[in-house]
Amino acid sequence: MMPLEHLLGIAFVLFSIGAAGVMVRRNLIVVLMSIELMLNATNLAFVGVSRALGDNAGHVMVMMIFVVAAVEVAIGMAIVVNMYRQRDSISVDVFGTMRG
Amino acid sequence: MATAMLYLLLVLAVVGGLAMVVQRNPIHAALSLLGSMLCLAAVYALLQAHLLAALQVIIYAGAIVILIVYIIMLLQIGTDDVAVAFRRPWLWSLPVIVLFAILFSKALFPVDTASAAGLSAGEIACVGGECERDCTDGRDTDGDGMTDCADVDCGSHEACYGTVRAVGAQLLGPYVLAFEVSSLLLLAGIVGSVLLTGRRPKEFADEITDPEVAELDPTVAQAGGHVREQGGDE
Repeated sequence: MMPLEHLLGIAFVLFSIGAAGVMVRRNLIVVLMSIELMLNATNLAFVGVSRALGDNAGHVMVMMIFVVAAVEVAIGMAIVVNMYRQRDSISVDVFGTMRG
Repeated sequence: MATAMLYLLLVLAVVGGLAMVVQRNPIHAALSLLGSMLCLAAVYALLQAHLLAALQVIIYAGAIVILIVYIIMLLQIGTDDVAVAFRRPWLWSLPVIVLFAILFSKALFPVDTASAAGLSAGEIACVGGECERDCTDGRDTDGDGMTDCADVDCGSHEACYGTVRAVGAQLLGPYVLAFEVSSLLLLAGIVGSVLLTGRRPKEFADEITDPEVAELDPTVAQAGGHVREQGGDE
C-alpha cells in the first residue's frame, strides 16, 4: 500500500531534477536527456493517478507522451548533428546567434 | 513486499536521474538515464500498467536511449571539465529551482487525495460504476461473441486494468482522434529529421552565402561558407 502523495512527490522530484538539468548543463545532448527525464516524471504521475482511480485513460495519455518523446528525440538529435557540423561543438553557449 | 519494491525502485529511479545530471561524461549520463527508465518500467509493472511497462522498455530503453548513445558516439563527445559541463551561474539557478519546487508542491498537495489514496495491488476505487461486474472467468454476458473483458465498459475492472485489450479499447474508442493525430506527428517527425540531417544540394548552400545576407550578419556567411566547404569535399 503506497499513498498516492508519495508517488506524486517522487514524480515531482524527478521532474525537478530534469528541470535542473536543463538549466544547469551546457551539453546539448544532456539537456535533451533532461527533457526526457521530465517527460518520464509526467508519465509516472499519469500512471499513479490512473492506478488510484482505476481508469485506463491515463495509460492512453502516457502512450501519447511516448510518441511525442520519440519525435522530439529524433528531431532534437537531427538538430544536434546539424549544429555540430556547423560549429564543431554542442555547447549551448556557442549557439547564441538569435540573441538580440 | 511489493510496496517495499515500489519504494526501492522509485528511489533508484531518482538516483539514476540525479546521476544523469551530475555525470560529466555524456555516455555515463545516458546509461544513468537508461537505469532510471528501466526502474520506472518496473514501477509501471508493479502498478499493473503492464502494456506501458513493455512499451517503456521498448521505446525509451530500446529506441530513445540507444539513439542518444549512438549520436554521442558518432560525434565523439568526451568528458567535459567541470567548468565547461555546468553553467557558471548554476548557484544562481538553485534559488529558481527551489522556488519552482515550492510552487509545484503548492499546486500538487492541496489536492484532496484521500478518496484516491491506496495504490495496493488488490483494490481499486470504483469510478465508472461498472466494477461489480466480474469478467475474470471469460463469460460473455451481452452475447456479442466477445468475453466481458473485451467489452469497453469493462476497462476499469481489476482483471482488465492495464492490459493491451483495455488500453487498446480506450485508444481506439474515445481517444481515436488523438491516436490519428499522433500518427501525423510521427510523419512530421520523419520528414523533419530527414530534411534536417540530409546533405543540402549545392544551390541551397549558395543561398546561405548570399551577399545581402553576408552584409547583414557576417557570422551567417561564415557558417554558410563552412557548409559549402563540406559540400565541396564530397
